[in-house]
Amino acid sequence: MPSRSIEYDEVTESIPFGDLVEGGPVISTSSGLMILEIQGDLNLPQRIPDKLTETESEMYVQDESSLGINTADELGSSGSHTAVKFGKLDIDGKRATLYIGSSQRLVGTIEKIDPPLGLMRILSESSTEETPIQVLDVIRQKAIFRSRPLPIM
Amino acid sequence: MDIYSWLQRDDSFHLIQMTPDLVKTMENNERLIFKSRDRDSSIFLCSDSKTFHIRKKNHSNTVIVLKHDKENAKAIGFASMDSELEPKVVSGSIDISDVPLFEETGEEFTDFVKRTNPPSFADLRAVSTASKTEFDVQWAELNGCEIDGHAVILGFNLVVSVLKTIITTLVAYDMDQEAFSATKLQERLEDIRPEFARTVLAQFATKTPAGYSLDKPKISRWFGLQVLRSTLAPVKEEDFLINWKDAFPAFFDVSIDIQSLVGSFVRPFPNMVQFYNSAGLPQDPVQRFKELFKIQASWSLEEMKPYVEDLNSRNLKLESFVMKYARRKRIGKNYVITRR
Amino acid sequence: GEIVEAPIKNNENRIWVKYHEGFSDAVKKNIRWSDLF
Repeated sequence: MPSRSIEYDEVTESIPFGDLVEGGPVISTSSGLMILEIQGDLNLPQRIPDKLTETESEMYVQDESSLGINTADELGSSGSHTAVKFGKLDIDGKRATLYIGSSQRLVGTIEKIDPPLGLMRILSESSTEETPIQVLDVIRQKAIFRSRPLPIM
Repeated sequence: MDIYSWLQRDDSFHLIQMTPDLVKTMENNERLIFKSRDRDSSIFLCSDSKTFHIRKKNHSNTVIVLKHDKENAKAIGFASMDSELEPKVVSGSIDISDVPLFEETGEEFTDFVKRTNPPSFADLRAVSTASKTEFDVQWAELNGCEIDGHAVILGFNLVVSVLKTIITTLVAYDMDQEAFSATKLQERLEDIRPEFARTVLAQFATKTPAGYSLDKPKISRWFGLQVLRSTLAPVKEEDFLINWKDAFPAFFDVSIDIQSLVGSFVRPFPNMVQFYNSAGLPQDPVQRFKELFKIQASWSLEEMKPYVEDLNSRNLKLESFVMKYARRKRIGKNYVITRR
Repeated sequence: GEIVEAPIKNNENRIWVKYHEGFSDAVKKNIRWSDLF
């Protein structure tokens, strides 16, 4: 009968969850995680396309570390990741604007997530020993975009 | 800020709802374990005190988890989620289908083990989809017994016989029934295995700082049940009460109250009682009430309650629920429930 | 006149959001051990 234990030392500091601080919503957690939610599908390429214009190529980075963000250590992921710049996010108080690619503008809000969401990483079991599952962070706010995309003007 | 995304997103990440119940177990620093009966069964999350059933809530929105770097105003999405895990508090359960029943038949325990191959107690605990607390409570209720590391359940007659011996011993040695030492008791229980005594005390005594204290109302009810079950035919209520009184060991002072057996007997004729158990009653309310009125034409609400309350899924006031399938009839000052 | 091209024009390379008209209410599903681990 299968079983896996959970470790949540990383998040116990943030428990119990007090009230969110008023005045200027902080969308990311202290460890820098955040959630974007879009009512729709976000179409992104799965790999770097072959034929790209110069402007397009600038949107791709072969190795995320060149962005100055290191997801590898904290999230326990390994290897370098190719990334694409797909947009721009502006936050003004509770209002958020997300520009997608070069043609769409989404207007949304910063909202409280209730109940908050814990981010877990579940790696497949190694055959010899049980690897505990880590709760890496708890996310309490998100930027959510429910309205139809508008053209960028 | 500029928003990036990995082209190949990592699907080893999952979001779980941090419900107040789950947060509470974390505040208490309880050990949390995901468990399942087998790879094709439901997933449970067990803490020391609670059991959660894990369901998946799918949605059609795009939910991206990003790592944000405030310094250089960039964020990078590494996971995209189409679901959240939802932990819902349920009552934990022990799967006893592989746990054999041990009765006193004269068979040596080692032979019994060879014949029945009981699971190990540690395994049973490890695989049960129940929190530690729930497991202990239910294991005691089931008359579960750990012998030489094996998990077995003690049979009804064995439990009654051990209970009788324990009571007789406490009476004979004039030990305090509300504060006795299990060790001292065991020294005087010559022929009883300590494991049996432990199981019976777990079921029929509570542990207090001063020692063990017999749960007399529970012992009383248990003997009442034993007497009820011993005759399948209806018996006069008076006779039943006398037999019940007689069932206790000598000089054991305990009161009896037929109301403590509500849910285990019916009244097929006036002033007669008969053992009756709710297992096997129809799940359909109309059929259930029909069956109940067939056995007993008129009921008090109180005595009917245990036979119907599980059907009241909308949590109506019990009387309102019963009135949907039955009617009330006034007899003198009281009301009884009869068929429509 | 001059044809203004979007920076990313062909469909394969395009990054865009396909809007969902109605929010489909979340569906709760029972899952098996092997679905998650």
